[in-house]
This record gives sequence, structure tokens and C-alpha cells, in this order.
Amino acid sequence: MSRSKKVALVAAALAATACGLLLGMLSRHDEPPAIAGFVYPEPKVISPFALTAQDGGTFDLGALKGKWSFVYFGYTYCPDVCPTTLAELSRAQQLLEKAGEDSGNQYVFVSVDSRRDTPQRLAQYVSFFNRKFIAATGNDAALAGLTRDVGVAYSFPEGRTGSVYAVDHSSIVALFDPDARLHAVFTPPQKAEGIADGFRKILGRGPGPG
Amino acid sequence: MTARNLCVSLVLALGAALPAGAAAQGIQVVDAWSRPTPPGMDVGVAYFTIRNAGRSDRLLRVSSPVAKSAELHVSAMTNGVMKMEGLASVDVGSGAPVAFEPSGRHVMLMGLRRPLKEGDVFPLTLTFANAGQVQTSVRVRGADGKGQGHSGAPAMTH
Repeated sequence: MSRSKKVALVAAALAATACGLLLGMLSRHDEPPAIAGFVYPEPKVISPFALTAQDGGTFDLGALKGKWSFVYFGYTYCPDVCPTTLAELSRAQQLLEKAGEDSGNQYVFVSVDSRRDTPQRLAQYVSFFNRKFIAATGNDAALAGLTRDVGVAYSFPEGRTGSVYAVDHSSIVALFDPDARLHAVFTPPQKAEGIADGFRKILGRGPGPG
Repeated sequence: MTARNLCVSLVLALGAALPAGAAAQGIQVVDAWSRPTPPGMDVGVAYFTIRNAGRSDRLLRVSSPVAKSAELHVSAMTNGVMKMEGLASVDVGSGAPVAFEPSGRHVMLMGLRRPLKEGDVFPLTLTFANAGQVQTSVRVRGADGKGQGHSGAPAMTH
């Protein structure tokens, strides 16, 4: 990918995120719930996409339908931020499960680094954090629509070679509703309690007393 | 030269005259922990807090027998994008502790010789400009960053 193309991609993703934030702020009079991130005043329709699932099958828009989906974007060779966020998402799953609010949910790790993250590797990786976690990945072309719609930017170092490189990426957890629309985004640093409370607020059940 | 600068220079000059062992007593590396690694994963992480009761120092490098190499890194958010960058060294001023913690400064372990498992303890050697080598024991917590620590809570929650 050319430098200018990459810059344009990052700029577009940032603009999408900024618009989401702005809309989130402007819509205060509609009182969308305040969460550790932002809630779209109108859930955002996502363009069709097709990624490869951890079992080698297809993970597409249809896979997001019929359940609430927490989707985190990262890569497995990421030593710090990705394990930290996945650990918090795993605790959020446990908190929701204890509260009986987990049965209709799925938790998806989308790797932006398909060159190194094979489906088999992803399967091993996510189940290590939580048996309920699933994963998907795809090349830049396959990821382009979804990352653009969700506002995720990522880039690889110039002239990367071999298997040792770091990937810059937006570290967000996106929440899709059962109609596969983007409903909310949890922004870093995510905490399990923040994700679980935010989800309850979105469902209209409130965080409990206080 | 101001009086303050003069004092600093004097202190530095006196400090340089002290044997390394005396300075090492001022540096403590505490609450070192790591995360377990999934099968097939050869990168890991280490977090800790450096306390410096002595004069200002600088962390130059780290090493551990569990990994082929170890690098000082920092994760930082720039325009909404999380970037991981290498650090040539980390200043450790006198008094204020320096935390290596999730989503911030950390040690990236590369080329792990075996997976890190919850409950494992491995050595990490930190080399400082003045204090020389300081060794600490890194405890591998649960995947969620909890458990196995002496306090049962991650060092990140101060």
C-alpha cells in the first residue's frame, strides 16, 4: 500500500471515529447511555464483508446477526495491549455470565495481521483467553470495508520483513447489535466493569444501584 | 552556573566516586509479573515497578534466560491508534517510582524458549547506567492478570 493511500486510510478511519464521538456528544438530549466509550445515536449499518473464521470457514455480516457481538481488533504478536484488552474482555464475559446476561453474546477477536495470524493460530490464541472467544482475519482488501465502517485504523512498518514487526492499530472493542449494526464502541483503556456496565446500560437494564 | 546547577554537579561528581554497590542499594525492582503465553507464541511481556532511593539513574537494558532477547517498549495512543515503540533507555529519577504496566512501558520478551505458565517464576536482569545489574523475579499471573501475585491484584491498579 502506498504511503499516501495509507495516510488517507488512517485519516478516513480517524474521521469516522471523530464523527462517532461528535454524534455521541451532540445527541445528549436523546440521552444515549453514558458508557466507557460512545454509543451511536442511531445504530450504524455495516457494509457486507467476508473474513476467514478460526475454523477456516467464513465470518461475514451474517455471523454478526442474531446476537450481540463484542469485536476487538488486534494481532497475536502484540505483547502488551492486545493481551491486556482480551483479558479485560474475558473478565467482562465472566461478569455478564454471572449476571445471566451473556447467553446471547459472542466475543470476536479480529486480527489485522493475517500474514502471521493463521486461522489455526488464532483458534489457539483466543481459546487461551476464554473458551467462548472466537476469531477471524483477512487480508487488507477483506478487512477494508469493516475497519472503515467501524473506524479502525492499522498500519504495518515500512518495508516489514520476516516475522518480527509491530502493528499500529486502533485498540477498540466494537459492540454490534443482533441486527449486525454497530451500536457502540468501548475505547481504551477498557476495563471489564466498564464493558459490562456499558452493555447493561445499552440493554436498558442499568448498572444496578447508583 | 547557578547554585542549583553547581549542587547537581557536585552531587553527580560525588555519586560517580561511590562504588557501584552503594548505588545498587538505592534501586529496587518490585512487583514484577508477566502473563502466561498461548501455545506456539514466542513473545511475552514483563511488568514491574522501579524504586530509586538513591541518585538519578537510567535503565539501559534488560535480559532474561527465558527469552532470546528482551526490549524496552512503550505502548502509546497517538490519534486513536495504539503504537508500540522501542525505548533506548528509561530515566529513573530519584524518589518517584517508575512503573512498567499494561498499555504503557513494558518489557517485550522475544524468542521465548518455552511457554510461560501461570505460577512460573523467572529471573529478569535490569542493567542501569550507575547501579549496574539488578535482578528481580518475575511471577507469571493468570491470563487475566490476576492471581499468583502476592497481593492477588495486578501492579497496574495503584
